[in-house]
Amino acid sequence: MKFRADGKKGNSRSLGWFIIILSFAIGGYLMAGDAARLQRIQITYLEGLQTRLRSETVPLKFMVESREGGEIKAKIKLYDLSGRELSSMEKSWPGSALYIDMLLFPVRGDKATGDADSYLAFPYRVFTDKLSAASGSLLFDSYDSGGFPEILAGLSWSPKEEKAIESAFSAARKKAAAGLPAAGEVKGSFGSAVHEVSTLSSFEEGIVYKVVCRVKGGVEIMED
Amino acid sequence: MNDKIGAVKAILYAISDAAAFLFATPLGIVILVAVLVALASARLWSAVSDRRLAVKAAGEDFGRAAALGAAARELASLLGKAAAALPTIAGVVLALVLVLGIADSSRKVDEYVAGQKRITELSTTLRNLERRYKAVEVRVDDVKDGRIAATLSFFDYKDLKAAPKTQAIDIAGKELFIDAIVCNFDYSSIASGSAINLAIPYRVFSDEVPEAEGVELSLFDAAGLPLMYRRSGDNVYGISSEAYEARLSELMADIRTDESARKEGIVRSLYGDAVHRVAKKGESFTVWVEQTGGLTIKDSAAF
Repeated sequence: MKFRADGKKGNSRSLGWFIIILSFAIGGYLMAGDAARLQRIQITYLEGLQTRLRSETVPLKFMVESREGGEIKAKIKLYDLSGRELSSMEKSWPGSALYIDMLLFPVRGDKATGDADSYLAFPYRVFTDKLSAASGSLLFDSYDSGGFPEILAGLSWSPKEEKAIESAFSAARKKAAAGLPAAGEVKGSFGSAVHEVSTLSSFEEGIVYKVVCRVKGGVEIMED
Repeated sequence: MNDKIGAVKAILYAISDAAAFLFATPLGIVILVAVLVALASARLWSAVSDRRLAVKAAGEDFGRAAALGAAARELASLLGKAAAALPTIAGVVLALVLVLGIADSSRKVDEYVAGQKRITELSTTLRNLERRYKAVEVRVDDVKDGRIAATLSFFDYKDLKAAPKTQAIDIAGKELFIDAIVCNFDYSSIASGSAINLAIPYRVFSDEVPEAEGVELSLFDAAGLPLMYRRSGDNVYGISSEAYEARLSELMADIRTDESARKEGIVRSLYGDAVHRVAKKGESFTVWVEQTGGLTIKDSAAF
């Protein structure tokens, strides 16, 4: 490169450096904006995952009314996903500790391992510490709406999903009606009978408890 | 050092915000123009007043035309001075643009750093929530004549080389129930990693044998700690294994006394959970403690 001999060489060099620095500054500014946008997308995604992991459904609530003469009397109510009450039952069972049995069906399971991304929870039966599960009260009839489990109503399922739910529910119902265990009917499915532990934490009479189902398959009992 | 940087940033942001308000918002521009007009008016008023006093002192008449002429001359003088100061004004504008740019970039860097911190926190939270711990491994040895023969394995995490403690059970039925006391801690404790949900399997029963007639499990060590929650020194991060075991003992005491746990506000839910599955000969499955809450059953590797 040739420069004029009148002392302009220094100015041209400064201008060159200025343009280079300015280009880097503008480029850096634009990249920072892009990085911030990508970062926001990542944060939104992670927050969504966190919310999903903490999400819960409450298909069943119950209240122990009395424990007398070796029997436990309780009222049980079922709800759909929007919180609409579907049915209510009041009954006595022999024993002192109530067991609320839920069936967990895997969704989008990995066929190789039986592992699943999430689970659907169906109220299955009620039994006690003195009454075997096989002799417990089945709950399927309380929310069977023409083959579709109404506790899962209130969400827009695709026809394929609806069919899969109906098919799994129907298989579980048939097994239970024949006096066979419905848990394990679908690969990766299992049962979870949540209950009070008499020596540790008893359900107080007159207090409403809810059965909380987590997306990863865990079931909890919490005070409503 | 951070305090000094913070102070510099505060000044930078104040100048930047003021400049952005004055030059880039309608209200700021109105205020700026109003101030300039007020200053110019005051200057013109002062010049006309001075001229009137001088003219009256000379005994001459100071009419409206003379006043307008004086004001016009002063205005022309002001415009001339403004034109002369143009390079300085341009310099100030350039400096303000630079300050705005630096302040904006600095804010973007701060936001980026805060975003990275948030991502790290969320990732840690997710990792803690997605975690699960093995509670029991069940192997169904035989299913015959309406009875289930199974072997349950409990793992001692304090001594990983030791063979798991096992218990063989034989019970009437088709479906095996593994009953456990479950203690789910508050989400904030789980998310921060300061607590893990606990499950203590204590009984096995079946679809035909009620819980009251089930088989007791023995998976506690001599100190009454469940084997699965014991840890060797290498596996306890941040605290000594003695302190860990002391804290675990406290937790076990908390669990045994429901009221004290609730008073401490650390336990979200405390209840029993009997997870169950149909027993099939040769199959094995594992009961896991989910950190989002509750227990699950997963298939183990075929044997």
